[in-house]
Amino acid sequence: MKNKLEVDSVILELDSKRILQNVYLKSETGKITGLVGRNGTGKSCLMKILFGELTPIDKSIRINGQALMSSYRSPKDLRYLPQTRFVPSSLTVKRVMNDFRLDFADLIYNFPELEKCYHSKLSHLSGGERRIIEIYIILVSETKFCLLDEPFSQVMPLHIDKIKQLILREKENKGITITDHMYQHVIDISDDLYVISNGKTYLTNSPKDLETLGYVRNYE
Amino acid sequence: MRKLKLSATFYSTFAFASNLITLSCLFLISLRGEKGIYVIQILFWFKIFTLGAIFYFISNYKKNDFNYYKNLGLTKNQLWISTLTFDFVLFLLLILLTLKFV
Repeated sequence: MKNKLEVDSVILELDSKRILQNVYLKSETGKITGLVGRNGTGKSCLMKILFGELTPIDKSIRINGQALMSSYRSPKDLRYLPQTRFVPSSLTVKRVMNDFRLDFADLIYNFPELEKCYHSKLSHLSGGERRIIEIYIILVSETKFCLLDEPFSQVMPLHIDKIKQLILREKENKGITITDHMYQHVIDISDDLYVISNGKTYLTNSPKDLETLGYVRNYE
Repeated sequence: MRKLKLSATFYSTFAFASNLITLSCLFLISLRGEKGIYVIQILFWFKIFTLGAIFYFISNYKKNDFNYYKNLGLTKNQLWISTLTFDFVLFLLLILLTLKFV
């Protein structure tokens, strides 16, 4: 089944400064939606609003036309990868995989380096290893939509390619929204690309629009 | 069952501190012997105050962890209500038992 997540009419103010207004963003099963913009334009805030972690002045969030009124988000509908570490350090990789009902063998197939980590606590992993686990559990576990905030940060280039492959694999079953300043990677895999500028979202027609909207200086 | 396990995991982040406070209260009651009942009111408010301090500390210093539980279907409110209720009921039960046996 094809699912559709939409957000619009968002008005967000932080410290009396208007961050978001006239925002529209759509994510659909089978599509990767890229979201880029300068620092402080509200990309992460928009992700948090979608996940119900930030309450704006006004918003309309719908899944298949049905409005999400409360801040509760069912994991069957939506999962969210924040920029910061979010898996409790005291948990082991095994426990985390069990909590998300994931197969460790598939993780090892994609990231063989992590084989030795099965019984390790998250606090004993390197920043990169930990980030891969976090990305994997959000991306691969069963849900309709994934929100990925800076999934390529702290990850080495070899693993970035693997993560991109995983994102392309998983988009067959879910809608994926991704934001990252490594915009070339975002452009590579995105079906739709939005730029946030002056509190508004603009759906781009070509990567050249990034230049017009002031996100990059000279797009090659 | 899964949610219970997750709540227990969350509780484990402050269980040691909270149970240490509970045990200190029980120790104070047992020290007072039969007069232990007279300090209950103070200890009751002391326990409430320390739970408030724990709530403040975890909410600020472990705030990112809440995304883990939310991604698994447990909200902050559900986590706090279940764990604080359990902790406080345990505190009351242990006080009643202590009073019975001193």
